[in-house]
Amino acid sequence: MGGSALMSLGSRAMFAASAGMQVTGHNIANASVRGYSRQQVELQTSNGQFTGAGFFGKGADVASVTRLFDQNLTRQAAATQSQAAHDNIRYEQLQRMEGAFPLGESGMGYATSELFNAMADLANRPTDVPSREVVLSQASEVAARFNASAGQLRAMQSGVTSDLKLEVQAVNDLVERIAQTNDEIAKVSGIGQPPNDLLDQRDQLVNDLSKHLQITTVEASDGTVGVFVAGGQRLVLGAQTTALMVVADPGDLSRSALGVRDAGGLRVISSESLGSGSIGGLLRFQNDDLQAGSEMLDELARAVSERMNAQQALGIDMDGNAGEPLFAPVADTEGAAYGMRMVITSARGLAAATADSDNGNALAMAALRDENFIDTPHFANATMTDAYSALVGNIGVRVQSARVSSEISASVAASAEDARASKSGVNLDEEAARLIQYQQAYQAAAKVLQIAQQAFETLLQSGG
Amino acid sequence: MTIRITTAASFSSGIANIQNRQRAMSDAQEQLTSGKRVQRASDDPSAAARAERALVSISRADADLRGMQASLNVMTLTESALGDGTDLLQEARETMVAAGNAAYSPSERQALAVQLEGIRSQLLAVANRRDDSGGYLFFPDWSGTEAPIQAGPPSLFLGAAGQPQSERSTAGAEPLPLNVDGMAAWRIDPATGESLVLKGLDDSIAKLNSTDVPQMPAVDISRVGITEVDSSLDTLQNLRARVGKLMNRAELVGDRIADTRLYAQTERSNAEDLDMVQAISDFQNRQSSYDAALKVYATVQRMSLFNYIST
Repeated sequence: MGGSALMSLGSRAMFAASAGMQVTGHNIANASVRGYSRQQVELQTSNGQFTGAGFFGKGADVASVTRLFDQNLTRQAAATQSQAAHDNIRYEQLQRMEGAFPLGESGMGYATSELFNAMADLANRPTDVPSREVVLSQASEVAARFNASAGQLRAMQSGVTSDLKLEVQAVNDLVERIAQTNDEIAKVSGIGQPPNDLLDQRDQLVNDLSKHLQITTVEASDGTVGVFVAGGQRLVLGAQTTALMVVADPGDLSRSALGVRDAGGLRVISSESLGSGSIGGLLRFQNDDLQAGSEMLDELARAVSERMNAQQALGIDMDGNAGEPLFAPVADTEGAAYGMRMVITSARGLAAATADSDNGNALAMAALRDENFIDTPHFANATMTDAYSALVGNIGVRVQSARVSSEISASVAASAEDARASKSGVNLDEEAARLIQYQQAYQAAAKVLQIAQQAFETLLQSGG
Repeated sequence: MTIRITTAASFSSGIANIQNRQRAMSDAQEQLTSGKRVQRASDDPSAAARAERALVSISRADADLRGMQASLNVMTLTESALGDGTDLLQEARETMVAAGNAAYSPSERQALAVQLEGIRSQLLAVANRRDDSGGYLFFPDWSGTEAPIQAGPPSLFLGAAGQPQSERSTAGAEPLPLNVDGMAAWRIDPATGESLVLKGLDDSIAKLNSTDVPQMPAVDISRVGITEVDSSLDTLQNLRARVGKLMNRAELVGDRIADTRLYAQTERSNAEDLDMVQAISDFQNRQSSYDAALKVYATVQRMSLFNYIST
């Protein structure tokens, strides 16, 4: 046992301490990098050397640098974020859609009831031309309100389509990058040491991807992961990718859906199988909420147009003819609100009179405010007031429940992220403490080296 | 296992908390400045639906009030026309009775006839009176360019005499009349279309002007046409009493509509308006919790072990 053994022990100890400082520095530098997992140096005791006097320890070696990471927590964080993104985008869209159904004086319910009230005023003065003009302007106001709301819903539909295109572009980009990272990881998989930073990078990409889509991942023996969507559609396998695209929904060409082009040609992915993620949220909003909103609006527009036209046809106008339609006849409920137009051109054409009373039909039209003439799939036997209140209530409840789900899933995602970060995240105070620890270890090892050198010199002097 | 706090997470959760508190404060501020608790249906869907219904009730009550006012206007005009008619007929009757004076010479009787003709033309104007929108008060159905009752004599009704006048009423839960029956008021004979009121005066005028009068006792001269005038007076007075009642009724209906409107307004306000005291206290709470969050963040985030490591 000589001075040279002590010297090599001291220099390895210095190397271990400086490796510790380097890893700590790396942690400090990456403290605010998303998806970074803190790393630590794994030290191991070198095997002792046997002499006649027993085993002498030879110091410590750096075995590896590992990242502190929990597969389950990472998966959970990704899955809960996927749900949070789904609920959040649906809530945002619904909030915007709520604006298409205004309350109070600017709403359709009020405009329609003012039309009926204008008919009541006309009944007071059935031959008064100004009263007739008021009815006409109120009728065109009703049509304008329906048009405006339907127009807003249409704009939302095209907004959903363009949002989907952006989302899909982001997904395809992430998918490409996951495949590249897979490839890099596979290249170093034979070395026997984990490529920590590459693994972090890929985990973060997978995490980002799951905000857009609900995905499942499967790890392969070469360290790569396979990414699948919608119950089995492959997105990434090793370094190979499949690109998604936005296509028209074959069930309703005005809506959008996701599709893939593979060996079998273009395939549409069923929207129900997509699950969570912002794409799933957009599609759910489009297929469920937006659809219901436009259906209700169209049903109201059609019921009002047809009922007013029917009543108008029963009356007699100022020139003694049966009333011509007030609103454009409706052929199809879909698009009724967007196509609603007042078609009567002259105030004389309003059929206020009946055969035995010169205001009989105006009274009948005014009485529509109490008639349950709206009987459609969404509104059973309702007056216009009831139906519009129900419509506003329905949309309100949708927004409200979307807000609640969004708040819940955001807090679930936040606590899952907290759990992941608690395992993998960097705490600067902790790193500061480590830094002191390794610095002291380094100083102690340097002292060992100095003692070894002095011992060697003492030996040389006594030899001289 | 203790939960490790990580630096990045504590920064971002601190910022998220601050944002939440700020949002809560700005929501409270928005409510305070608009005075509305329900600004969107999602704020409280059932209150929003209630407010919608209440708003429609308010606008309907306004329409019903306009109808009530229209009925009241027509009835006021009609009442005054009927009063004028009654006064004129009474004057006519006095003139006719005066003609019974046996001492009157033919020229004096002719002077009475001239007086009666003046009354007659005034009465015709009353029967053909128009309302403020230009329609005929007693004959709203009449749309011809001439007045509905001809000057005559004989004074014929130009519309379809045999057909009853349409009964016009306002819309609403309690319909109010918008006209009285002009055929009955001016006693238009369904067979001939002649107004019997004016016919009575015409008969009297004709008799006063005629030359064979001296053969007739003065008392009989004064009786010509007087039965028609008397029954017309009855008709007009009865009708006037009915119109008075209708005006009373219109006012009562107006009161009830106003009550309904007030109720609906209260309902709307209850459904969507803000309780200001509550709102101000909420706002102050949120303001102080935002303030607290800012202070805590500034204090906690400043602390670090690096502050104490000196080389």
